[in-house]
Amino acid sequence: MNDVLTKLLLRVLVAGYIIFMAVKLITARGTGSNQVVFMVIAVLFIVASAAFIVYAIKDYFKKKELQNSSSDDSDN
Amino acid sequence: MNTSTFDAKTFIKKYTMIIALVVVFVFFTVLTGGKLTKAQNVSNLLLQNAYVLIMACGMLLCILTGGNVDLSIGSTLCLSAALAAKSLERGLHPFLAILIPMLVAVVIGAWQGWLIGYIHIPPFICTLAGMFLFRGFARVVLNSKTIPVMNDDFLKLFTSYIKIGGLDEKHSFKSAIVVGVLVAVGLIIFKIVSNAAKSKKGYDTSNNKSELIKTAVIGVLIIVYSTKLYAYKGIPVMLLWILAVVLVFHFVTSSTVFGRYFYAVGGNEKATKLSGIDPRKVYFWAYFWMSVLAGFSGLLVASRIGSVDGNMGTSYEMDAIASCFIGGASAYGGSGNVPGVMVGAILLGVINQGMSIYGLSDQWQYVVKGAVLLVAVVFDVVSNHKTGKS
Repeated sequence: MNDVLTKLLLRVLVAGYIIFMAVKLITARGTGSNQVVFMVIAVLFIVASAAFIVYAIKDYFKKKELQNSSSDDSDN
Repeated sequence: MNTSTFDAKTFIKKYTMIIALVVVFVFFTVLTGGKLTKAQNVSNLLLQNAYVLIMACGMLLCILTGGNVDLSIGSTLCLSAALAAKSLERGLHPFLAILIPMLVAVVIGAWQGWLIGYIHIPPFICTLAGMFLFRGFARVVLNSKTIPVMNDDFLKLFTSYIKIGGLDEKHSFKSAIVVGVLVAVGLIIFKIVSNAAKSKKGYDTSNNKSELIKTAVIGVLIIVYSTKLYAYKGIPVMLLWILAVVLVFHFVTSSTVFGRYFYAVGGNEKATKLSGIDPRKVYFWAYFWMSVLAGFSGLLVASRIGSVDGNMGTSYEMDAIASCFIGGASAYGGSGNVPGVMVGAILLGVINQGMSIYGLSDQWQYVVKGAVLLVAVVFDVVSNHKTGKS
Protein backbone atom coordinates (compact mmCIF):
# COMPACT_ATOMS: atom_id res chain seq x y z
CA MET A 1 0.00 0.00 0.00
CA ASN A 2 1.28 3.50 -0.70
CA ASP A 3 2.31 5.89 2.08
CA VAL A 4 -0.39 8.48 1.37
CA LEU A 5 -3.23 5.98 1.65
CA THR A 6 -1.70 4.41 4.78
CA LYS A 7 -1.53 7.85 6.38
CA LEU A 8 -5.17 8.58 5.51
CA LEU A 9 -6.34 5.26 6.93
CA LEU A 10 -4.34 5.70 10.13
CA ARG A 11 -5.75 9.19 10.61
CA VAL A 12 -9.31 7.95 10.04
CA LEU A 13 -8.62 5.15 12.52
CA VAL A 14 -7.45 7.59 15.21
CA ALA A 15 -10.42 9.88 14.58
CA GLY A 16 -12.75 6.88 14.69
CA TYR A 17 -11.31 5.84 18.05
CA ILE A 18 -11.86 9.32 19.49
CA ILE A 19 -15.47 9.18 18.26
CA PHE A 20 -15.76 5.76 19.92
CA MET A 21 -14.56 7.35 23.20
CA ALA A 22 -17.17 10.08 22.76
CA VAL A 23 -19.94 7.51 22.25
CA LYS A 24 -18.76 5.64 25.35
CA LEU A 25 -18.85 8.93 27.28
CA ILE A 26 -22.42 9.56 26.22
CA THR A 27 -23.70 6.02 26.74
CA ALA A 28 -21.98 5.36 30.11
CA ARG A 29 -24.27 6.10 33.03
CA GLY A 30 -23.00 9.18 34.88
CA THR A 31 -24.30 11.18 37.79
CA GLY A 32 -26.11 14.55 37.69
CA SER A 33 -24.01 17.56 36.77
CA ASN A 34 -21.04 15.44 35.67
CA GLN A 35 -23.13 13.96 32.88
CA VAL A 36 -23.53 17.43 31.32
CA VAL A 37 -19.74 17.94 31.42
CA PHE A 38 -19.21 14.55 29.76
CA MET A 39 -21.79 15.36 27.09
CA VAL A 40 -19.99 18.63 26.29
CA ILE A 41 -16.61 16.86 26.13
CA ALA A 42 -18.12 14.12 23.94
CA VAL A 43 -19.50 16.70 21.50
CA LEU A 44 -16.07 18.39 21.42
CA PHE A 45 -14.42 15.04 20.69
CA ILE A 46 -16.86 14.33 17.84
CA VAL A 47 -16.47 17.79 16.29
CA ALA A 48 -12.66 17.66 16.52
CA SER A 49 -12.57 14.13 15.05
CA ALA A 50 -14.90 15.06 12.19
CA ALA A 51 -12.71 18.07 11.41
CA PHE A 52 -9.63 15.85 11.49
CA ILE A 53 -11.23 13.37 9.06
CA VAL A 54 -12.08 16.21 6.64
CA TYR A 55 -8.51 17.52 6.99
CA ALA A 56 -7.09 14.01 6.39
CA ILE A 57 -9.18 13.52 3.24
CA LYS A 58 -8.20 16.95 1.86
CA ASP A 59 -4.54 16.26 2.63
CA TYR A 60 -4.82 12.86 0.93
CA PHE A 61 -6.09 14.34 -2.34
CA LYS A 62 -3.52 17.14 -2.18
CA LYS A 63 -0.64 14.70 -1.76
CA LYS A 64 -2.08 12.28 -4.32
CA GLU A 65 -2.16 15.13 -6.85
CA LEU A 66 1.43 16.03 -6.02
CA GLN A 67 2.47 12.39 -6.43
CA ASN A 68 0.71 12.14 -9.80
CA SER A 69 2.24 15.36 -11.11
CA SER A 70 5.75 14.31 -10.00
CA SER A 71 5.34 10.90 -11.68
CA ASP A 72 4.15 12.64 -14.86
CA ASP A 73 7.26 14.85 -14.76
CA SER A 74 9.55 11.86 -14.39
CA ASP A 75 7.82 10.07 -17.29
CA ASN A 76 8.40 13.11 -19.52
CA MET B 1 30.83 22.08 27.76
CA ASN B 2 29.43 21.64 24.30
CA THR B 3 30.12 17.92 24.37
CA SER B 4 28.17 17.44 27.60
CA THR B 5 25.18 19.41 26.21
CA PHE B 6 25.28 17.28 23.08
CA ASP B 7 25.40 14.09 25.15
CA ALA B 8 22.40 15.15 27.24
CA LYS B 9 20.40 15.87 24.10
CA THR B 10 21.35 12.56 22.54
CA PHE B 11 20.50 10.77 25.76
CA ILE B 12 17.05 12.41 25.99
CA LYS B 13 16.36 11.74 22.31
CA LYS B 14 17.43 8.10 22.57
CA TYR B 15 15.52 7.34 25.76
CA THR B 16 12.50 9.65 25.42
CA MET B 17 9.92 6.94 26.05
CA ILE B 18 11.80 5.43 28.99
CA ILE B 19 12.05 8.90 30.55
CA ALA B 20 8.31 9.38 29.87
CA LEU B 21 7.61 6.01 31.52
CA VAL B 22 9.58 7.00 34.62
CA VAL B 23 7.85 10.42 34.78
CA VAL B 24 4.36 8.86 34.41
CA PHE B 25 5.18 6.17 36.99
CA VAL B 26 6.43 8.74 39.51
CA PHE B 27 3.40 10.98 38.77
CA PHE B 28 0.89 8.22 39.49
CA THR B 29 2.88 6.98 42.48
CA VAL B 30 2.62 10.45 44.04
CA LEU B 31 -1.03 10.83 42.97
CA THR B 32 -2.04 7.48 44.49
CA GLY B 33 -0.05 8.04 47.68
CA GLY B 34 2.41 5.25 46.85
CA LYS B 35 -0.27 2.61 46.21
CA LEU B 36 1.03 2.04 42.67
CA THR B 37 4.33 0.68 44.05
CA LYS B 38 2.67 -1.86 46.36
CA ALA B 39 3.72 -5.45 45.64
CA GLN B 40 0.28 -6.54 44.48
CA ASN B 41 -0.08 -3.62 42.05
CA VAL B 42 3.43 -4.02 40.61
CA SER B 43 2.81 -7.76 40.14
CA ASN B 44 -0.57 -7.08 38.52
CA LEU B 45 0.80 -4.37 36.22
CA LEU B 46 2.26 -6.90 33.79
CA LEU B 47 -0.45 -9.52 34.28
CA GLN B 48 -3.33 -7.14 33.58
CA ASN B 49 -1.55 -5.97 30.44
CA ALA B 50 -0.42 -9.42 29.31
CA TYR B 51 -2.68 -9.25 26.26
CA VAL B 52 -1.19 -5.88 25.19
CA LEU B 53 2.39 -7.06 25.65
CA ILE B 54 1.77 -10.21 23.62
CA MET B 55 -0.41 -8.76 20.86
CA ALA B 56 1.90 -5.75 20.45
CA CYS B 57 4.66 -8.18 19.33
CA GLY B 58 2.45 -9.37 16.48
CA MET B 59 1.21 -5.88 15.69
CA LEU B 60 4.83 -4.77 15.37
CA LEU B 61 5.30 -7.27 12.51
CA CYS B 62 2.23 -5.84 10.72
CA ILE B 63 3.34 -2.23 11.26
CA LEU B 64 6.90 -3.01 10.13
CA THR B 65 5.58 -4.12 6.73
CA GLY B 66 4.51 -0.54 5.95
CA GLY B 67 2.44 0.98 8.75
CA ASN B 68 -0.33 -1.58 8.25
CA VAL B 69 -2.43 -2.61 11.25
CA ASP B 70 -4.69 -5.53 12.15
CA LEU B 71 -8.07 -4.31 13.40
CA SER B 72 -9.50 -7.78 13.93
CA ILE B 73 -7.37 -8.90 16.88
CA GLY B 74 -9.85 -7.81 19.58
CA SER B 75 -12.52 -9.94 17.90
CA THR B 76 -10.12 -12.85 17.29
CA LEU B 77 -9.24 -12.70 20.99
CA CYS B 78 -12.94 -12.77 21.88
CA LEU B 79 -13.63 -15.72 19.55
CA SER B 80 -10.69 -17.67 20.95
CA ALA B 81 -11.79 -17.00 24.55
CA ALA B 82 -15.40 -17.92 23.65
CA LEU B 83 -14.32 -21.23 22.09
CA ALA B 84 -12.20 -22.07 25.12
CA ALA B 85 -15.03 -21.23 27.54
CA LYS B 86 -17.59 -23.18 25.50
CA SER B 87 -15.29 -26.21 25.24
CA LEU B 88 -14.75 -26.23 29.00
CA GLU B 89 -18.47 -25.76 29.62
CA ARG B 90 -19.18 -28.83 27.49
CA GLY B 91 -16.73 -30.80 29.62
CA LEU B 92 -13.93 -31.16 27.08
CA HIS B 93 -10.38 -31.77 28.32
CA PRO B 94 -8.45 -28.48 28.95
CA PHE B 95 -5.93 -29.55 26.31
CA LEU B 96 -8.73 -29.50 23.71
CA ALA B 97 -10.02 -26.22 25.12
CA ILE B 98 -6.61 -24.76 24.25
CA LEU B 99 -6.11 -26.63 20.97
CA ILE B 100 -9.47 -25.72 19.39
CA PRO B 101 -9.17 -21.91 19.82
CA MET B 102 -5.53 -22.01 18.73
CA LEU B 103 -6.43 -23.95 15.58
CA VAL B 104 -9.17 -21.44 14.80
CA ALA B 105 -6.65 -18.60 15.33
CA VAL B 106 -4.26 -20.35 12.92
CA VAL B 107 -7.04 -20.61 10.32
CA ILE B 108 -7.95 -16.93 10.80
CA GLY B 109 -4.28 -15.94 10.48
CA ALA B 110 -3.81 -18.01 7.32
CA TRP B 111 -7.06 -16.64 5.84
CA GLN B 112 -6.23 -12.98 6.49
CA GLY B 113 -2.57 -13.45 5.57
CA TRP B 114 -3.58 -15.00 2.27
CA LEU B 115 -6.14 -12.27 1.48
CA ILE B 116 -3.66 -9.49 2.28
CA GLY B 117 -0.48 -11.07 0.92
CA TYR B 118 -1.67 -12.93 -2.14
CA ILE B 119 -5.02 -11.35 -3.12
CA HIS B 120 -3.73 -7.83 -2.25
CA ILE B 121 -6.78 -6.73 -0.27
CA PRO B 122 -5.77 -3.63 1.76
CA PRO B 123 -5.06 -4.77 5.35
CA PHE B 124 -7.28 -2.03 6.76
CA ILE B 125 -10.33 -3.26 4.84
CA CYS B 126 -9.63 -6.97 5.27
CA THR B 127 -9.09 -6.77 9.03
CA LEU B 128 -11.99 -4.34 9.49
CA ALA B 129 -14.24 -6.99 7.95
CA GLY B 130 -12.62 -9.56 10.24
CA MET B 131 -13.34 -7.34 13.23
CA PHE B 132 -17.10 -7.59 12.64
CA LEU B 133 -17.07 -11.16 11.36
CA PHE B 134 -15.16 -12.76 14.25
CA ARG B 135 -17.05 -10.73 16.85
CA GLY B 136 -20.25 -12.09 15.33
CA PHE B 137 -18.90 -15.67 15.42
CA ALA B 138 -17.89 -15.20 19.06
CA ARG B 139 -21.41 -14.05 19.97
CA VAL B 140 -22.86 -17.04 18.14
CA VAL B 141 -20.57 -19.39 20.08
CA LEU B 142 -21.50 -17.69 23.36
CA ASN B 143 -25.17 -17.53 22.38
CA SER B 144 -24.95 -13.88 23.55
CA LYS B 145 -24.41 -15.04 27.14
CA THR B 146 -21.57 -14.79 29.63
CA ILE B 147 -19.85 -18.14 30.15
CA PRO B 148 -17.71 -18.70 33.27
CA VAL B 149 -14.27 -20.32 33.02
CA MET B 150 -13.88 -22.49 36.11
CA ASN B 151 -11.81 -25.51 35.10
CA ASP B 152 -8.94 -25.70 37.60
CA ASP B 153 -6.47 -27.38 35.25
CA PHE B 154 -7.07 -24.72 32.60
CA LEU B 155 -6.75 -21.88 35.10
CA LYS B 156 -3.57 -23.39 36.59
CA LEU B 157 -1.87 -23.22 33.19
CA PHE B 158 -2.26 -19.44 33.02
CA THR B 159 -3.10 -17.87 36.37
CA SER B 160 -1.23 -19.93 38.98
CA TYR B 161 2.03 -19.02 40.70
CA ILE B 162 5.20 -21.08 40.64
CA LYS B 163 6.00 -22.89 43.86
CA ILE B 164 9.45 -24.41 44.33
CA GLY B 165 9.75 -26.81 47.25
CA GLY B 166 12.24 -25.64 49.90
CA LEU B 167 12.18 -22.05 48.64
CA ASP B 168 8.52 -21.08 48.67
CA GLU B 169 6.37 -21.18 51.77
CA LYS B 170 2.90 -19.90 52.57
CA HIS B 171 3.83 -16.21 52.93
CA SER B 172 7.35 -16.03 51.58
CA PHE B 173 8.29 -16.73 47.99
CA LYS B 174 12.07 -16.81 47.90
CA SER B 175 12.15 -18.37 44.44
CA ALA B 176 11.23 -14.96 42.97
CA ILE B 177 14.32 -13.35 44.53
CA VAL B 178 16.61 -16.24 43.61
CA VAL B 179 15.44 -16.25 39.97
CA GLY B 180 15.57 -12.42 39.79
CA VAL B 181 19.16 -12.27 41.09
CA LEU B 182 20.28 -15.13 38.83
CA VAL B 183 18.76 -13.47 35.74
CA ALA B 184 20.25 -10.07 36.61
CA VAL B 185 23.73 -11.47 37.30
CA GLY B 186 23.49 -13.68 34.18
CA LEU B 187 22.64 -10.65 32.03
CA ILE B 188 25.59 -8.64 33.36
CA ILE B 189 28.04 -11.53 32.93
CA PHE B 190 26.75 -12.13 29.40
CA LYS B 191 27.28 -8.45 28.58
CA ILE B 192 30.83 -8.42 29.99
CA VAL B 193 31.73 -11.57 28.03
CA SER B 194 30.22 -10.29 24.77
CA ASN B 195 31.98 -6.91 25.22
CA ALA B 196 35.29 -8.72 25.75
CA ALA B 197 34.67 -10.83 22.64
CA LYS B 198 33.88 -7.67 20.65
CA SER B 199 37.09 -5.90 21.66
CA LYS B 200 39.10 -9.07 20.97
CA LYS B 201 37.74 -9.15 17.41
CA GLY B 202 38.61 -5.48 16.94
CA TYR B 203 35.06 -4.03 16.86
CA ASP B 204 34.37 -0.47 18.00
CA THR B 205 34.25 -0.61 21.81
CA SER B 206 33.40 3.05 22.53
CA ASN B 207 29.84 2.09 23.52
CA ASN B 208 30.84 -0.81 25.77
CA LYS B 209 30.75 1.21 29.00
CA SER B 210 27.32 2.73 28.36
CA GLU B 211 25.98 -0.66 27.24
CA LEU B 212 27.26 -2.20 30.47
CA ILE B 213 25.65 0.58 32.56
CA LYS B 214 22.36 0.02 30.68
CA THR B 215 22.50 -3.71 31.40
CA ALA B 216 23.29 -3.02 35.07
CA VAL B 217 20.24 -0.72 35.32
CA ILE B 218 18.06 -3.43 33.75
CA GLY B 219 19.54 -5.92 36.23
CA VAL B 220 18.67 -3.66 39.18
CA LEU B 221 15.11 -3.23 37.84
CA ILE B 222 14.74 -7.02 37.55
CA ILE B 223 15.87 -7.46 41.16
CA VAL B 224 13.48 -4.70 42.37
CA TYR B 225 10.63 -6.36 40.44
CA SER B 226 11.51 -9.76 41.89
CA THR B 227 11.38 -8.33 45.45
CA LYS B 228 7.81 -7.22 44.68
CA LEU B 229 6.96 -10.71 43.39
CA TYR B 230 8.56 -12.14 46.55
CA ALA B 231 6.18 -10.05 48.63
CA TYR B 232 3.11 -11.07 46.60
CA LYS B 233 2.53 -14.74 45.73
CA GLY B 234 5.84 -15.29 43.84
CA ILE B 235 6.45 -15.77 40.12
CA PRO B 236 3.18 -15.89 38.11
CA VAL B 237 2.99 -18.47 35.31
CA MET B 238 1.50 -15.79 33.07
CA LEU B 239 4.75 -13.84 33.38
CA LEU B 240 6.59 -16.81 31.91
CA TRP B 241 4.17 -16.91 28.95
CA ILE B 242 4.70 -13.19 28.37
CA LEU B 243 8.49 -13.53 28.59
CA ALA B 244 8.51 -16.53 26.24
CA VAL B 245 6.55 -14.67 23.53
CA VAL B 246 8.46 -11.40 23.94
CA LEU B 247 11.90 -13.05 23.91
CA VAL B 248 11.08 -15.20 20.87
CA PHE B 249 9.75 -12.23 18.90
CA HIS B 250 12.68 -10.05 19.97
CA PHE B 251 15.11 -12.74 18.81
CA VAL B 252 13.27 -13.30 15.51
CA THR B 253 12.99 -9.59 14.61
CA SER B 254 16.51 -8.63 15.68
CA SER B 255 18.68 -11.65 14.98
CA THR B 256 17.20 -13.71 12.15
CA VAL B 257 17.08 -13.24 8.39
CA PHE B 258 13.34 -13.96 8.44
CA GLY B 259 12.85 -11.11 10.95
CA ARG B 260 14.81 -8.65 8.84
CA TYR B 261 12.49 -9.32 5.89
CA PHE B 262 9.73 -7.40 7.71
CA TYR B 263 11.99 -4.34 7.99
CA ALA B 264 13.04 -4.71 4.36
CA VAL B 265 9.47 -4.81 3.03
CA GLY B 266 8.49 -1.81 5.18
CA GLY B 267 11.60 0.12 4.12
CA ASN B 268 11.27 -0.39 0.38
CA GLU B 269 8.97 -3.07 -0.98
CA LYS B 270 10.09 -2.76 -4.61
CA ALA B 271 13.78 -3.04 -3.72
CA THR B 272 13.00 -6.01 -1.49
CA LYS B 273 11.20 -7.75 -4.33
CA LEU B 274 14.09 -7.07 -6.71
CA SER B 275 16.52 -8.57 -4.22
CA GLY B 276 14.66 -11.89 -4.36
CA ILE B 277 12.44 -11.70 -1.28
CA ASP B 278 8.75 -12.43 -1.84
CA PRO B 279 6.80 -9.61 -0.08
CA ARG B 280 3.61 -11.70 -0.31
CA LYS B 281 5.09 -14.26 2.07
CA VAL B 282 6.21 -11.51 4.45
CA TYR B 283 2.69 -10.05 4.57
CA PHE B 284 1.24 -13.53 5.03
CA TRP B 285 3.44 -14.36 8.02
CA ALA B 286 2.90 -10.94 9.64
CA TYR B 287 -0.89 -11.38 9.74
CA PHE B 288 -0.63 -15.08 10.48
CA TRP B 289 1.44 -14.54 13.64
CA MET B 290 -0.70 -11.61 14.65
CA SER B 291 -3.83 -13.79 14.70
CA VAL B 292 -2.05 -16.64 16.49
CA LEU B 293 -0.94 -14.23 19.22
CA ALA B 294 -4.47 -12.78 19.45
CA GLY B 295 -5.83 -16.32 19.86
CA PHE B 296 -3.31 -17.05 22.59
CA SER B 297 -4.11 -13.76 24.34
CA GLY B 298 -7.77 -14.85 24.33
CA LEU B 299 -6.83 -17.83 26.50
CA LEU B 300 -4.84 -15.61 28.88
CA VAL B 301 -7.62 -13.03 29.22
CA ALA B 302 -10.34 -15.68 29.65
CA SER B 303 -8.40 -17.36 32.45
CA ARG B 304 -7.53 -14.07 34.15
CA ILE B 305 -11.06 -12.64 34.08
CA GLY B 306 -12.69 -16.01 34.76
CA SER B 307 -15.56 -15.52 32.32
CA VAL B 308 -16.14 -14.63 28.67
CA ASP B 309 -18.79 -12.38 27.14
CA GLY B 310 -19.44 -11.01 23.67
CA ASN B 311 -17.80 -7.66 24.42
CA MET B 312 -14.45 -9.08 25.50
CA GLY B 313 -11.49 -7.57 23.66
CA THR B 314 -13.34 -4.49 22.40
CA SER B 315 -10.75 -1.85 21.42
CA TYR B 316 -7.84 -4.10 22.46
CA GLU B 317 -6.47 -3.59 18.94
CA MET B 318 -6.08 0.11 19.74
CA ASP B 319 -3.99 -0.73 22.81
CA ALA B 320 -1.67 -2.89 20.72
CA ILE B 321 -1.42 -0.27 17.95
CA ALA B 322 -0.83 2.54 20.45
CA SER B 323 1.91 0.51 22.20
CA CYS B 324 3.74 0.11 18.91
CA PHE B 325 3.56 3.78 17.96
CA ILE B 326 4.40 4.99 21.48
CA GLY B 327 7.30 2.52 21.45
CA GLY B 328 8.83 4.07 18.35
CA ALA B 329 7.45 2.02 15.44
CA SER B 330 7.18 4.15 12.30
CA ALA B 331 3.72 4.76 10.81
CA TYR B 332 5.31 4.11 7.41
CA GLY B 333 6.92 0.82 8.43
CA GLY B 334 10.52 -0.32 8.40
CA SER B 335 11.47 0.77 11.89
CA GLY B 336 10.64 -0.22 15.46
CA ASN B 337 11.69 -3.01 17.80
CA VAL B 338 10.24 -5.30 20.47
CA PRO B 339 11.92 -3.66 23.53
CA GLY B 340 10.57 -0.25 22.42
CA VAL B 341 7.08 -1.68 21.96
CA MET B 342 7.27 -3.24 25.45
CA VAL B 343 8.09 0.17 26.92
CA GLY B 344 5.06 1.58 25.07
CA ALA B 345 2.81 -1.21 26.38
CA ILE B 346 4.02 -0.78 29.98
CA LEU B 347 3.56 2.99 29.71
CA LEU B 348 -0.06 2.45 28.66
CA GLY B 349 -0.46 -0.09 31.46
CA VAL B 350 0.89 2.34 34.08
CA ILE B 351 -1.52 5.05 32.87
CA ASN B 352 -4.50 2.64 32.96
CA GLN B 353 -3.61 1.17 36.33
CA GLY B 354 -2.71 4.55 37.82
CA MET B 355 -6.11 5.94 36.81
CA SER B 356 -7.90 2.87 38.23
CA ILE B 357 -6.05 2.99 41.56
CA TYR B 358 -6.63 6.73 41.84
CA GLY B 359 -10.31 5.93 41.45
CA LEU B 360 -11.07 7.83 38.24
CA SER B 361 -14.43 6.73 36.86
CA ASP B 362 -14.60 5.04 33.45
CA GLN B 363 -15.88 8.26 31.94
CA TRP B 364 -12.91 10.31 33.16
CA GLN B 365 -10.62 7.59 31.82
CA TYR B 366 -12.24 8.00 28.38
CA VAL B 367 -11.75 11.78 28.66
CA VAL B 368 -8.04 11.35 29.46
CA LYS B 369 -7.49 8.84 26.62
CA GLY B 370 -9.42 10.99 24.15
CA ALA B 371 -7.49 14.10 25.20
CA VAL B 372 -4.14 12.30 24.75
CA LEU B 373 -5.21 11.25 21.25
CA LEU B 374 -6.37 14.76 20.42
CA VAL B 375 -2.93 16.08 21.44
CA ALA B 376 -1.44 13.50 19.03
CA VAL B 377 -3.83 14.72 16.31
CA VAL B 378 -2.84 18.37 16.86
CA PHE B 379 0.83 17.35 16.80
CA ASP B 380 0.24 15.51 13.50
CA VAL B 381 -1.53 18.48 11.88
CA VAL B 382 1.10 21.00 13.05
CA SER B 383 4.05 18.83 11.94
CA ASN B 384 2.31 18.20 8.60
CA HIS B 385 1.99 21.97 8.05
CA LYS B 386 5.67 22.46 8.90
CA THR B 387 6.72 19.71 6.48
CA GLY B 388 4.46 21.14 3.77
CA LYS B 389 5.96 24.60 4.17
CA SER B 390 9.52 23.33 4.15
